[in-house]
Amino acid sequence: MLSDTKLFQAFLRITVTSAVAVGGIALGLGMVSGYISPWTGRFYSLLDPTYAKDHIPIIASVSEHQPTAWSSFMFDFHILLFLFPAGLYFCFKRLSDATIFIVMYGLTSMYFAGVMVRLILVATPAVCLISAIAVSATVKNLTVLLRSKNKVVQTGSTKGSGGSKSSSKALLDQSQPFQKNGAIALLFGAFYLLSRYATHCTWVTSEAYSSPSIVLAARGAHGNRVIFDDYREAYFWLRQNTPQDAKVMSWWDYGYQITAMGNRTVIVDNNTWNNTHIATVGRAMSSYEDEAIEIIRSLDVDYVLVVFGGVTGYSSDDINKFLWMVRIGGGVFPVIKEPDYLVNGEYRVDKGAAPKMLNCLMYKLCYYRFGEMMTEYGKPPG
Amino acid sequence: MQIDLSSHIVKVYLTLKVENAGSTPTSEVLLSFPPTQADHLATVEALVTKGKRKKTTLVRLDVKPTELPDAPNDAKYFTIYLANPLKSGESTTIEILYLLTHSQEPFPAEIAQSESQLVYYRDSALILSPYHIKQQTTFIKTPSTKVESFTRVEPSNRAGTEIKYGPYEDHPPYSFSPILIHFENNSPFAVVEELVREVEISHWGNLQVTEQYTLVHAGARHKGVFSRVDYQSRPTLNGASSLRYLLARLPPRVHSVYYRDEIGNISSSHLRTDSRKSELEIEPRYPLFGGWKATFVIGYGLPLQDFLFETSDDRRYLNFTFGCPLLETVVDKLTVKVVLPEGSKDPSAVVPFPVEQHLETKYSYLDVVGRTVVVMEKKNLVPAHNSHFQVICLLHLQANLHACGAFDVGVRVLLVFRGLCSLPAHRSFHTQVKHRSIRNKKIANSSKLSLFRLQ
Repeated sequence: MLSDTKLFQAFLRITVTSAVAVGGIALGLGMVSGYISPWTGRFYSLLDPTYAKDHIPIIASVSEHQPTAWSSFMFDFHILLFLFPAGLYFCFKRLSDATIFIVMYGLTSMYFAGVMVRLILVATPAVCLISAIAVSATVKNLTVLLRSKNKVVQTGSTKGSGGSKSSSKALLDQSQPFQKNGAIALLFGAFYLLSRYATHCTWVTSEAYSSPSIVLAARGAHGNRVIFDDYREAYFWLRQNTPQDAKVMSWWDYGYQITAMGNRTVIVDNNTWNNTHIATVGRAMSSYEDEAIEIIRSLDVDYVLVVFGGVTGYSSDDINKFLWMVRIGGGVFPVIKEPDYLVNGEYRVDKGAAPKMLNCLMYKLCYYRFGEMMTEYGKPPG
Repeated sequence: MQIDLSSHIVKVYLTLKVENAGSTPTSEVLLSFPPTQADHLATVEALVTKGKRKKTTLVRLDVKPTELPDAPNDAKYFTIYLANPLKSGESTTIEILYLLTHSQEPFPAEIAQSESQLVYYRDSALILSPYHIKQQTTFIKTPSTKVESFTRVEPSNRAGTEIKYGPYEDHPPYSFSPILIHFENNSPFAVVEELVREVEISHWGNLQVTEQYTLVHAGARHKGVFSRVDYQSRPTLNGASSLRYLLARLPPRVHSVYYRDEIGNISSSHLRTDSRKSELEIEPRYPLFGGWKATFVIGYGLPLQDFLFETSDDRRYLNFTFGCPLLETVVDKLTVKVVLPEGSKDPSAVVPFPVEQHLETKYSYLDVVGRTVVVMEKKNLVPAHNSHFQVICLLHLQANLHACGAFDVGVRVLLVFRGLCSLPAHRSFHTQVKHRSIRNKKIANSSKLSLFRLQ
């Protein structure tokens, strides 16, 4: 009769081999038939961050694909940022299978998090664990110091009793008299850091990850809460007061919102894979008005939607994204050249802007009669 | 006769001094209207003053539409039933108020944002009456002093916001002198095309009202661009006739008010409560210009003890307002649904004006047989229709316990079933213990024990 362990080993071997074989065949079939998409440009840019900017501007324009700035790291990680290297040190100090795994995971994911902002999410579990190792090791050492008794070192008897329990109780070093007080102070410091971290996390979650980006809130002059519901106002107006078959042209950021809330057909939306189509819209937004109307007519568009934040100081409007429209349009239609819109390599929208910039469709739509608007009391209009 | 044109609902006050010139006493007075006006007639009320100079009371009289076979030019009639019959040679004064909707026609039909809205009002200088008119004067009040033109039927005069036609003497019955007034009216022409009001009675102590509106601006259509710059900088000049906000009057002690539409909550609203009334001021997401529409839902809860009462013969009745709580709006089609609690029998509705009624069934939480819904429909309402109506029904409390009873029975069955199912499990546990201990000794006995288990 076969013993259980041998049977189990054989069973394990067969299962793993067949699973790997089936998986490999499925993957191969999927790639050959096109069901699984090949290794596209997005993934190349992970290895070479400058790849997308030169070759595929539309991937480079997505703000989540940008290389990570230190401010993003600080915003998302806070104290974990310097606890991470400390944790790596502690992991190396007590090498085992588990710590080797977490070190490898942490380093690889941190490299890729540095390349692309949205991959900070992938690095988060590893960073949390390694930082936790650091905190736990530090706090453990400090509390051990606190709990040890103030023993006078006597060579004979204490050595024997101390030797057996040396791992759990460290003897106080008599040369540093205020060690206990120092330990208490450091412990308080550690707990203070942790509490600040918890506060920061809840604040970040409420401010950055929970507030809807479609309704903006601000404080008015008297401290009252002012709500800017402009997006939904425009979408609802489109839904109620335009013919059912009207077509709306806007930048692709708002495509899904217009489709869902405005219930109208859009030209490009967040899931448009056709780069030339988006480039057509970009070209229409950055051409002179008479050229733009030709493109718009050929697309059979009834309404054009632009977002402009000049009155309220909203910074992620279409004027801010305009250079990307130029780059994407210029990537397909060489008639649009990015240097035409810049002045000495600088992007300006005031009186000293480039003439092509001042006469393009986007500028005309956004700044129409803006000179008459009062943005704040006491400041000159426009 | 006084015609008030200051809002888009035309209010006409007629003071009729009727004299019985015949030989027999009569208690009916006829009012006639041209067919175009009769279609837009929302309410007709007649009052008569009683009492001496200091203590006058107004007594409401019955007014009913009637059909007369030989009506000239399809005129429509209403009969006023007097409280006391009028003897021959006597005269009495009747105050009549009637409201007309959709009677002011915007002309020009399309205006730009910076233009003000001008409308036509068509009427007759002499009221259409089946009786001989001895003397008549008409005063027309316009909302502002800007009157483009008005038909002159001598003697007519205009002073400020008032136009006076008359006095006209000695006119035969059914005389009609059409007049047309073209004037500026920038009051908001708010028309609710369809309103569905659902009033749900819950015996947990709450009355939940849900109202679904389709609001339209029925004035001159908007043409050209809408410039927010102009609209916000000079509101009196630009978009003077646009709908900026609406006021809804709700009963006091209202709670959980919400104002939303298909895409989410609308945050531009204010609720001010009082011990006598609550006022909800709502602003649609965008200002409504001519031809623009908006749909939204307003819902609120009310305490049940304010509205549900018991009659002397053990029937419950709900006393609630019929009509739209929005002030100064015309409702083209109103549907009121009163959802009665489960187990209500013989529902009936008592409404002070004619409505179309029928019954429906609605299924909601913990319902077994469904709840009866009394559905009432009416067309062409004005705020004057905001009077109370009653829905009376018999309530069988036993029926209300249907759901609880079903739940109770279900739980009992479940417990019994579990008890039954668990007994063999216990038995098999014991036999298994026994089985294991004797397995090595007597294999023959196992078949006997398994038989025992099956039993």
